[in-house]
Amino acid sequence: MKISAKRKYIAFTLAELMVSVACGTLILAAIVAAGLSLQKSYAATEAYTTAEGDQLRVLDYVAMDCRRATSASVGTVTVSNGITNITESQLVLTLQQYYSATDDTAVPNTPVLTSGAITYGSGSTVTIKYYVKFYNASASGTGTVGYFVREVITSTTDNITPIARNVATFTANATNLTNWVSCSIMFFPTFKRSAGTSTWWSGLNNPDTAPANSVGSDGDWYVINTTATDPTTVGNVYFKSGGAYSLVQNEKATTVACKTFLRNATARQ
Amino acid sequence: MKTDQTNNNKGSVLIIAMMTITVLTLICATSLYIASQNTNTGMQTAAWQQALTGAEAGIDAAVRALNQKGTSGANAWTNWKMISTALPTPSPGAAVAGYTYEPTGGTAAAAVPTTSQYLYLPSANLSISYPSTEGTTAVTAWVTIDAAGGLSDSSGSWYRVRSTGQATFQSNSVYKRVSNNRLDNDLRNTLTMNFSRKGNSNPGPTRTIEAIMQPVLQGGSAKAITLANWLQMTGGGSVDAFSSPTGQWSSIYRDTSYPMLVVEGATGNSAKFANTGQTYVYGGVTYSGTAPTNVNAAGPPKDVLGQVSTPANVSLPTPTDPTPISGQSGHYAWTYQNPWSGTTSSYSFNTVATYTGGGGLPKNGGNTVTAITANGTAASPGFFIISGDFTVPGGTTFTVNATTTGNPPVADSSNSYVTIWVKGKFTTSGSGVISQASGTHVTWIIDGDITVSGQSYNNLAGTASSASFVGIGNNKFTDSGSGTLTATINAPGYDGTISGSGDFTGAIAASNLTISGSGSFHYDEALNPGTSPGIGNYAYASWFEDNSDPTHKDMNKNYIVY
Repeated sequence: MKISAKRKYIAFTLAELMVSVACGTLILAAIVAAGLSLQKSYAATEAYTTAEGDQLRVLDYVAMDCRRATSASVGTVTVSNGITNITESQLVLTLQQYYSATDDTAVPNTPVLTSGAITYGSGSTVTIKYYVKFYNASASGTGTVGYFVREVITSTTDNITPIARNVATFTANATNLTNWVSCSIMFFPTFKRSAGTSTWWSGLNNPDTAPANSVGSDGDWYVINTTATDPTTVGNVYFKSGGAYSLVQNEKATTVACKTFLRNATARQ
Repeated sequence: MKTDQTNNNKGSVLIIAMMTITVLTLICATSLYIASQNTNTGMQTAAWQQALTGAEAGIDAAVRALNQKGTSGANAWTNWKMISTALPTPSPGAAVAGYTYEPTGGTAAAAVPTTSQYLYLPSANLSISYPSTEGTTAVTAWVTIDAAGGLSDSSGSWYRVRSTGQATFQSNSVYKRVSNNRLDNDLRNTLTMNFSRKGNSNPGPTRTIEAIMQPVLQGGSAKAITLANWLQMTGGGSVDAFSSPTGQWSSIYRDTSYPMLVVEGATGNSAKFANTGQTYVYGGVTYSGTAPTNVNAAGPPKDVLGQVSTPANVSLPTPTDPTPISGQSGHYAWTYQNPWSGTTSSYSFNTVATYTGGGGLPKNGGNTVTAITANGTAASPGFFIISGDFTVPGGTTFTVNATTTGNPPVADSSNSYVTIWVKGKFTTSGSGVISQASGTHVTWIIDGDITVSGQSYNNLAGTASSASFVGIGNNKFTDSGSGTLTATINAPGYDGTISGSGDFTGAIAASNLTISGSGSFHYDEALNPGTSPGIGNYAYASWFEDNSDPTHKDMNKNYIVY
């Protein structure tokens, strides 16, 4: 009786085995598919959050520095994007030397009234520049990843800090800089189209147009920047496959903009 | 043996199940942790912005108090406290009451601080709380006002206002944790949220703004020569200001500290002085845009004896013509703002005499008009219209007489007022003379070019305030000759020229001005309301957000200062 009872549980019948394998396969396939979808969704959400954080951060930085600037100017800077040199806008802000030092001994200087204007730090100034610079994925060395950087130049230091990545282009408006600073930053839509190991390109043409097929390799992306003659094409996204770029329908790059009033009297001459 | 094998199979299933559960749990925990960090970023960004609104509210409260002290001082300093020491000097890394964190104590404030005092408005008066919510539960601000060691100029004391706003999280809030991006922590000082760089125990981001407030005097913003664009001085004449009891210029009343020139410099050089090594301006120059050219280029002596400062803070009102009053034939209304005194006057002219202009003296019908009477009061001047050009040809005289009659009657002949609206050019030529009698006050409203000279406009009233030329639109004015012209010219759209050897006593507001002759320009300080006008308001002279946290380094190992 015991032997018979044990045999009853030792093995499945062929039919039972086939059914269970089939069911298991279906369940595993569903789990794998769900996992992949969840992974994509998770990565996209993460990329979206990161991009949103980057956008908020650059706006906060630019607005804060513009409010406290004593003058603003717009120039250009030539940088290498890994393929060629491109010319980008550069916003240059001048601040008073508000702090006594640039290390842990720094305290605010006392304001002085000179020739009808307030000065800090004996009239010395600090220059803050905003522009796009290209690094590798770790934000160091050289590479093809566009970073929006903030460069702070004092009499003793010159520090460049990347404050956002995946930036396609930066545009600063040079008009009426004695009242306002208007600028915009275009981001690659990485949260919609994960680049993986491929590269995002932009600004290789001036005015910018659809990229040449010789640019990059399969899997790369290209975004039309604000220099485009046709404003309706600004932000268009192209994807390279089979050695050729094609326009990705219903997709645009993300642009954030700010217009900040210069609050210092000396800036509004 | 078989029993053992069965038991082993059961055990491996349990292990596999536990490992699967563990892996899934780790995945879930990681996902939740990262999602939580993302949420932290969003909440901290929002809190950082809320802290700015708090800091700006503190600045607004201080500006309100400063601006109200002159008009409703009894309420200006309600809830403000005064501490009888200067605002403490900050020390590296030290938490200093009144500078890095909110002070306490003090007595009720009643006036602006001296150099040995500072005022503060406690955060209890600038707070909003919403304790049962997610994220921040309160936004507060505290603000100080001090003299910053005694900042002042001829307008009065300047004040430093430091305001710190803070968005507060609950003490056990998860949002005080760092976000998942170090850059956000560097910018928003969220690393410090657990112990607050401002020295209190509340967790949450703080933002500090330091603004310097400068006094703006009552009265108009126009000074001796106020120009929207540029000034050029090439002759041997100079510019000065005087304050005499009679309104008559003399070098003994010269005031070399007066801010003589206000030049906006909107279209290039604000002021250009010929490089001749002489003093052009016995006073100050305030400009915007391009700095004056050749200031002290060949000195000494200095081209400008007073202060050269920037920016110019001026707003010239645009004068307009009188307008007919609807439904009342022959009645006109006119509103005029004097750019030097700042006062705005509104007039209703109920009677008007209209003369025909042309190439000579005006005509009343077929009769030539050689004189008019200033038959009104200051509140209700007499009113004449010359419909066309007004020209005083050589060999003729046009007289403005005083009177004690009129409707309403003029009580005193020394207070006879008249407004004359010339709808064309105003010209005195050759030996033609306009004689303005003593005791009269004449306002000329001119729609065209103005050509006049000292010897051709004989202002017997003697003071600049008694002869006012108001230029409408964009035209030209020219003052030449050898006599002294005593008048004011308010023509913000006009291109002006002063040539010849005659002096000009009064004030000019124009678009641009060339002084090319040997005659000098004397500003009558009586055109402003008194020698010590009160402070009307405070304006921002400087604005700086102190976002430093030098006790920490950023991701590149640099101290967080700028």
